Amino acid sequence: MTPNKVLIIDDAETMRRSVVDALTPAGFSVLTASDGFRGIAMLKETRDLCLVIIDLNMPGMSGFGVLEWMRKDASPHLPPAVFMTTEISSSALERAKGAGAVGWLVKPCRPEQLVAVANRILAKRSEHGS
Amino acid sequence: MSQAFEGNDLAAKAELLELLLSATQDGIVDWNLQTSEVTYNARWKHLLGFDGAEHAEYCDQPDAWRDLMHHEDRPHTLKLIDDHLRQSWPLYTTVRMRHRHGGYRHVLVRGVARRDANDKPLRLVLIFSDINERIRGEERQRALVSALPDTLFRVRSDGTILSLKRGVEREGSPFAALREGMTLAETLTDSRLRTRLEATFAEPREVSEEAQTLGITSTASSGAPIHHDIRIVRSSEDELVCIVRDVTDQRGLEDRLLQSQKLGAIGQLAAGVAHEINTPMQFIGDNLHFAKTAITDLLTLLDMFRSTVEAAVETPPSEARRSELGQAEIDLDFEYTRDALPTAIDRSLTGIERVTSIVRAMKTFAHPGGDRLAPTDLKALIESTVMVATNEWKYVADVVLQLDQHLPPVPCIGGELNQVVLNLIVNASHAIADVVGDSGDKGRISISAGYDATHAVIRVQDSGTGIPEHARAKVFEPFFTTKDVGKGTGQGLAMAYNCVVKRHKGTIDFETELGSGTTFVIRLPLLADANKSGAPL
Repeated sequence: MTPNKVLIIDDAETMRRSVVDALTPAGFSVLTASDGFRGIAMLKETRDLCLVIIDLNMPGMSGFGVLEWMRKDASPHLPPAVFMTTEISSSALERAKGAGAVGWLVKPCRPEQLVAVANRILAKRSEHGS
Repeated sequence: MSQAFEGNDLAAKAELLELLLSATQDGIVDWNLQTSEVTYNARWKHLLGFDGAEHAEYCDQPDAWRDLMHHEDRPHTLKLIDDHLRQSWPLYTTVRMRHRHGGYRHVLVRGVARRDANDKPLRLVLIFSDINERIRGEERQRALVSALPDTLFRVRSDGTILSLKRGVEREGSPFAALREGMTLAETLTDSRLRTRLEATFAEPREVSEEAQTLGITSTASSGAPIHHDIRIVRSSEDELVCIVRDVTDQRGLEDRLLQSQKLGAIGQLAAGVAHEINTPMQFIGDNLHFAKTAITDLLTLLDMFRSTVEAAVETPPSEARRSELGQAEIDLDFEYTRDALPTAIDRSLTGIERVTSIVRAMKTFAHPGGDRLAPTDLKALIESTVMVATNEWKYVADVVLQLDQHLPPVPCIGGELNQVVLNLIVNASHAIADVVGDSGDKGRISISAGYDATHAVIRVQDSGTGIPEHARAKVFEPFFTTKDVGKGTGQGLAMAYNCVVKRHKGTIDFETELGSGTTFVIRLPLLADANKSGAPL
């Protein structure tokens, strides 16, 4: 069975690494992108992603920018999106929900928490039969 | 301590927990999702005024936290709890909680669920933090901010727009596209603000804590210009605050004011110039009157000599005739006339040259070119301005010009820059007049023009009073004047600043010493930067 693919878009090398380190032992295959533009390119060319984790605050293109692109593109193969941030605010949460994200992780995030969220979203997806 | 946070030492963990619970200012609700039991800490009860023993029973009800929540906030909060338990959303919201003494308090509710190995939530801990004062403060601040017509936002060093408050932006304004959470690059096609903000971030923090202003002109779909002034202040290491103000209407008024100032200055000068022309004209008139009388006398003499010469063909002139001629020469002052007449003509010609040059200067001053930056001969500009302003300075000062003959043409809006030079000459004269008074002594105004690698430099130096300490910071402010009522409007240097800094992207500064005088230094870029010089009117 091929491992489930997750994409992490984050400008911080340490964050990308921590996601790879947390999810790989749990049976995920993790791809990384260091900014929003590269992230979009990978979303376009990788057809079998099961989840994308997006840092909200990145130079050049913000996480919201990536999500906005995903919503406009609306390809059926696009995976569910989860934000990862240090800060949290009600308005940003509302906006993320409105823009179609399925979850939100607050940094720093324990490895088991990451795995739990990834598994939960995977389970939801198979429930819906997609 | 890290052992207690991260390790498996249960005793250490228990001790830390006890310490935390005793220290916390927050209300904590522990909800067992399996048994539906809910327990509250003492702080939670205190938060809402239910400390007393008599309320103990009521407050231990499992539904107490839901009942005391404002009915408008309840459905939303329950939905967020559901999202947290079933999905992957953090539980984070602000609600109003009823206080026992009446009224509501703003409370931040956060929560985290504990799950079993199958991801089934077992227990939910809710933390209630009293943020009433903060919210009230924010409400007041928001009311204040929303009363402003400006667009306000914070921007992080990566370009992300935070807490945007959109102002009244007219049709076509680029700032109408700003969106919170997105970056400037994504929402603003015009890169000028971005470039400036990046430069500001690069500066040391002390420098950028003082507000800086950036003017941006855009074009509406109708083709009409839209002017914005953006004030930029550093608010933290990683953040700037930007206040965007639409100054289109104000700029229109300023342009008209500038126009009327220009006309006003020419009007004021006209009196001086009339006087300047009148003096040589009187002088020419006097000389010509003298010449007319002298020539009449000479012609009379000439007639006498001619008839004598004609008669002499037959008989030589008699002794009587010769002494008659000699007497006529004395009567008509021939020796004096012969000396004075050429001088009178020369003086008249000098007078005419003077009038001609004044008229020429006036023409140069009044029509110095268009209202865009164009290569300009600064030497001619300064000379003509000094000339038309003669009446302003000649009774109090001598003007010394030191103009570098190799000065290349400088990109200028001549019609505005000559106003600036004029204003500086008038100010210099007034400052000197305050020193010399009616004594008849004269001060000195030195005007030099030169250049360095990048800039043309004009210096206007006077031997006047100097600028008093208290006025120095304000000299470029509009309507600030130390002159007597009727003598100054406080517009001259403000106009000069506007013209040099905003229109020419140059600088204007001054050095001053009480009792010795003041030097204004104008620096104008020698090369018009295509990007910057486009400052339209």
